[in-house]
Amino acid sequence: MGRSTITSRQAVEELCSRILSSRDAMRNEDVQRLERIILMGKKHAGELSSGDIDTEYRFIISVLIEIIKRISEEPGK
Amino acid sequence: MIVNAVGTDRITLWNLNGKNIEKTVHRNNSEIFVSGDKYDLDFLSRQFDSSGWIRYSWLESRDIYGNMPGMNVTVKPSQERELVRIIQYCGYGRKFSVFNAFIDPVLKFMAKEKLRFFDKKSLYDPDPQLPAMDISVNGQKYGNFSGITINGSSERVSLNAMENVASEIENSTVIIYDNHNGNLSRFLRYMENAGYALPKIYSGRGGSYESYGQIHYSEGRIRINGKMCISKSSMIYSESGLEGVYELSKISSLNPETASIVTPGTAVSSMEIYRALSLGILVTAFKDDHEREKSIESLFNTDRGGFVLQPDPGIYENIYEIDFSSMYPTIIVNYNLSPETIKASPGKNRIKLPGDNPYYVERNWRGFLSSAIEPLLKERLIYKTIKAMDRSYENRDIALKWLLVTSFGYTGYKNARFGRIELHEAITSIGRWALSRAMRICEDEGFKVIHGIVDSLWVKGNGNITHAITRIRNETMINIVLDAHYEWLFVPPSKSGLGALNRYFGLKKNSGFKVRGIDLRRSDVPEISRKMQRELLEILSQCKTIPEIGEASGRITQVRDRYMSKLRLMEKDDFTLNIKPSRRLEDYRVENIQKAAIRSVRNMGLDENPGQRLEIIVKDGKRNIIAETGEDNPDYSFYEKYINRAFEPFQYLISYAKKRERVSLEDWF
Repeated sequence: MGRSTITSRQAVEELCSRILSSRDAMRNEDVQRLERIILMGKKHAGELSSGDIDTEYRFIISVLIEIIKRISEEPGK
Repeated sequence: MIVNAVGTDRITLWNLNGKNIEKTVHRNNSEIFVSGDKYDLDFLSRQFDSSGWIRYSWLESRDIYGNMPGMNVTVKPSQERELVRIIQYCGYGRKFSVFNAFIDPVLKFMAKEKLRFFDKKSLYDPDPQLPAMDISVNGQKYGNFSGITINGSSERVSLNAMENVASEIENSTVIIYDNHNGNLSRFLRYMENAGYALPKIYSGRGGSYESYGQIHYSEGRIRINGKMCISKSSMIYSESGLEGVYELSKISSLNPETASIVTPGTAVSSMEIYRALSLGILVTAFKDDHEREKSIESLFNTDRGGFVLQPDPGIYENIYEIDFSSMYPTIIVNYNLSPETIKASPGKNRIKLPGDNPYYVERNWRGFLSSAIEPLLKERLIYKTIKAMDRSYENRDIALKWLLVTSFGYTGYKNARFGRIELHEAITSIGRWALSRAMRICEDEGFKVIHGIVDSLWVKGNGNITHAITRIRNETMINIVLDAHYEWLFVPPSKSGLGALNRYFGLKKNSGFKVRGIDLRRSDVPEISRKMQRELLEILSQCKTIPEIGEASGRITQVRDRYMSKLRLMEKDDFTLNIKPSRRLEDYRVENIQKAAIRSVRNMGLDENPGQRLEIIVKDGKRNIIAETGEDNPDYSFYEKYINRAFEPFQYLISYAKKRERVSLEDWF
């Protein structure tokens, strides 16, 4: 459990801070969108760690799950 | 009943006979076993022969993996360390394997003679009532004493008080002491210097140490000849009282004084060693098989902890919380996990373990570890069931709980005598598998899973929870119980905006609140925060539904406003902060409260110790000044921050209740 390797949660946190390091070069409204993506990426990263998937893929799949969830929860869908 | 044993080369057994303690002295020899190559062992035997003082015999013995030939060497326990050093020297540190060495001499004696501490006929029997005294000394500036508390009654330091202390020590068998700041050690020395004839006293210095990234302080220990001295700062005593210490002593076969100071991990290890020695199984002295070689992919895949399902922040109604009881120890027992039964490859009579691990387990024989932990698990189950009947049962249950928790953790500790990393990996993997199976079954039974963490699941819905639990129990072979049924459960957001994993509170149907992680449960906040949260929960206890919480929002905010406006009228004690500075004064680079507290300790002429808990009141939060006299008032604006922080989760709660029960990620932007 993170004995000699970082935990899946730490790996995602590290990826998020790498992504967020580019925010200084972005417009404010885009930074807000980026932060939203980060949150969506973190949401399912823990669950997805039970599969043998790279951190980056876990992050993207988590974002996609949240987007699909949001689309399907929209009124009328 | 044996209540204590002390000594090394001679063991003094304390046998409780009626109300009297009879002490008998027994000669103690230590037997260690050396194995290695036949040629090397012959060489070693010639060395022993020429020494003239080392006695040995040729023998075949077994460890948990199988039989091996070797030499059984008999020495006095006090010479054991020197002998092992000689053996290591003769074998260049690698040619010989040494067994049954470096074991507590009392524990080894108890195992050899097949004796047990506090051996009762039945688990329900009460503990012996040994004459006990409880003593603490309050210190003052420059090493003076302000008072003594004996058995709960306080008095000023006087000749009369010292007479009382001397007579209580003489008449007591168990001495429960508080040696905060070394006050008691100094006081006993002061009494000796004043001419009081006390039994021989040994007092050690306290010390700071680091554990899991945190600095802790261990108070200086006191030993008094012919007495059992139990420190109040002992983890097991503070958690479970004397009953817990006796229970730990019974299980670990360490004497009560030692049992009270060792970590639960050492106690578990001692229990395993006792069992091994009584069964004639060798216990390795130097561990060299804690981990097999593995590829980097395998390391990444297996080196994982418990399963966590991220909750959304919000309020949820009609929630069931189901918990696997003693999940990891049960996995060890029910899946027969032990260093010698876990295998990396398939084979005859081996079955694949469930979960995302590459391991197999032998099913033809019972593993050592699983058979050692099984009685512990059974005993805990009994005490857990009857703990409401008597406080002593509850304390025994707490002690057993700690042992079971560490029995798992110790499997991953490289120096644990019966540990193995693969075992640790297999246990967490089966745990993850069991929780995910439980999730699937709950969904199948009509529930929606809200939150899950390691061994607990929170589910919502109107399915048949009893049926779901039975299915989970049958499928995973791990006992799972319904821990709570909530009217509503609130999960506050964490800083990231996702639901907090370890902070929540909920109103249980018919039985009050379950609260985790908020200020009410923290020791580093002032009492005002806890008082306010208690009042807030009192109001919320009347609210059975989310709309009712919304309706109570006015009353809830009124409580916060009242605390803010009446802060100056509250008792000074309510502002006490319990802090733990982690460095020495010179090591602090910035001025902060911790530094001010440490400076105040130094100004009082007392020892400053990183990791030591200090109680302070902040007089000026901006300039980091703490109150040093009774006349100093707290900095009320500083404490307003605590009120606001304690109110934060309740602020979220009412805003959710007013809007809707669950908040999506969108709400955080």
